[in-house]
Amino acid sequence: MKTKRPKLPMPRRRLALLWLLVPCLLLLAAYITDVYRFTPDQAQRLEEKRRLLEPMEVLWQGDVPWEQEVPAIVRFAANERAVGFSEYDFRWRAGGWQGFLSLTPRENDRPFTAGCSWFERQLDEGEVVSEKAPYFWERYRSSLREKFVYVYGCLESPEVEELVVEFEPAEFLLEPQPAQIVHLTAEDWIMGSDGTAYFICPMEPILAARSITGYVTAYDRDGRSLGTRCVTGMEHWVE
Amino acid sequence: MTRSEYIQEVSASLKRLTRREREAIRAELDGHMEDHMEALRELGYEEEEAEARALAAMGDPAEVGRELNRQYPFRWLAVKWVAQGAAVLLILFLLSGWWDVFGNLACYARARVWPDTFANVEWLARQSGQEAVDRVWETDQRAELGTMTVRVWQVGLDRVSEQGGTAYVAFSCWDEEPWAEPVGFIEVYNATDGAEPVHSMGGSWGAAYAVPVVWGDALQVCWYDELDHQYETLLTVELPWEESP
Repeated sequence: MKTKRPKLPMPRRRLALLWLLVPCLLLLAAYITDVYRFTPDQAQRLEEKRRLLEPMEVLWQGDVPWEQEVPAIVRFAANERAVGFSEYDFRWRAGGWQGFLSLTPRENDRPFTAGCSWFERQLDEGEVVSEKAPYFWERYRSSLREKFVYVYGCLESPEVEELVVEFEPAEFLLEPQPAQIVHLTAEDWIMGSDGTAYFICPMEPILAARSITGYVTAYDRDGRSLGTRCVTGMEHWVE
Repeated sequence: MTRSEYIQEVSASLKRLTRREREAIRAELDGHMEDHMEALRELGYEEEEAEARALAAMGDPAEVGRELNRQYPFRWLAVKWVAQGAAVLLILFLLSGWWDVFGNLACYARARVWPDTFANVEWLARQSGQEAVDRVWETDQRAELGTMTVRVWQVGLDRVSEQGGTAYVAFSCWDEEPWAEPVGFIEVYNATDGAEPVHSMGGSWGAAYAVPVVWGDALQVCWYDELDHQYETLLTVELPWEESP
């Protein structure tokens, strides 16, 4: 009669592969339960859910316009009710892709919808020298910012042939910054899956100690203005 | 050489084995030799001779040890250790998040089965200085808001006449994902004159409101639409009015 022996342990290879499954399953569970945000898509979905928004289609994605300590991206997304601009960055300890979402409601009864978001960066010591006005420079240094502005939106009327984005000269202490004017035409439109034409316009960095003022104007085929909207401060239609 | 000496020698040549693996190999070798000896004994061999033959059949213990070492490659043991370490680190790293998830699962069950544990009409009445509510009814009126369900489960009327009084409403909320906390800012108003609540209690999983009403009014459960910057009606709660007082 054969001796009854204890069962041999599982082969090392099989045991190792089974143990490899454990962290994989933990990560999967963390993803499903949103305990940790692994991707910007996941962060965006959570933000949409938190704000009770319909899912937004990502239309454009780019890098954050200045060097970051952590990986970061900016996104332009839209759905039937709103256009949104968002920023996401990946921080290990904070739980993945954090971010913000700036929303502009769609204005279907207007020629276009436009919104504006910006990041601002305080200038470092010695980065700007204003010999003309040392007094003002010292006084306003803490409020002096470099603004990275994005103007975005969509066309609501098929009559719109061109959009002109214009930022007034920013009063930078005693050294005014030049005005910025950008013309957007059909080749700049980003077509959404629903056939809507969207646009996003990253502006050149603006140095400003106070607020900035920007407008978007739509023109038809004959060059007639269809409407102008102020997209900064108290947003409103100008005409 | 005895059987145990043989096993000891094989065991000594085994490298990088876990205690469990070492014990299992010892038991396997011992059992194998015992089987062999048993067969020889049945054939009429004496104990010593059976052991000597069984050991001879097993071969050189050093060679057996080398062969066994090949059967237990260290790389897979290292992979297992790394995976175990990663699992422990992940559990610790995600611990606070898991804690929230388990808390949410418990709240989800409470919101669906025991909504009164979050807020109810009697609590709110006592909190707002009333000893009791004249009449309290259980109801089941539901509305969907995104992935969230809002269930009005209790209404109450207190000292209501055509001149005025208070209506109470208690509701619970849950998300379609049981581990997620419901979102959305829910408020209750008088549907007739838009009167705001005078007392409220609760949180995101459930709340109760006390709203001024007159006989015949209804209440509306609303949520704040961030895009339209206004409250949208989610549910109109018909109060169980009896005959006009």
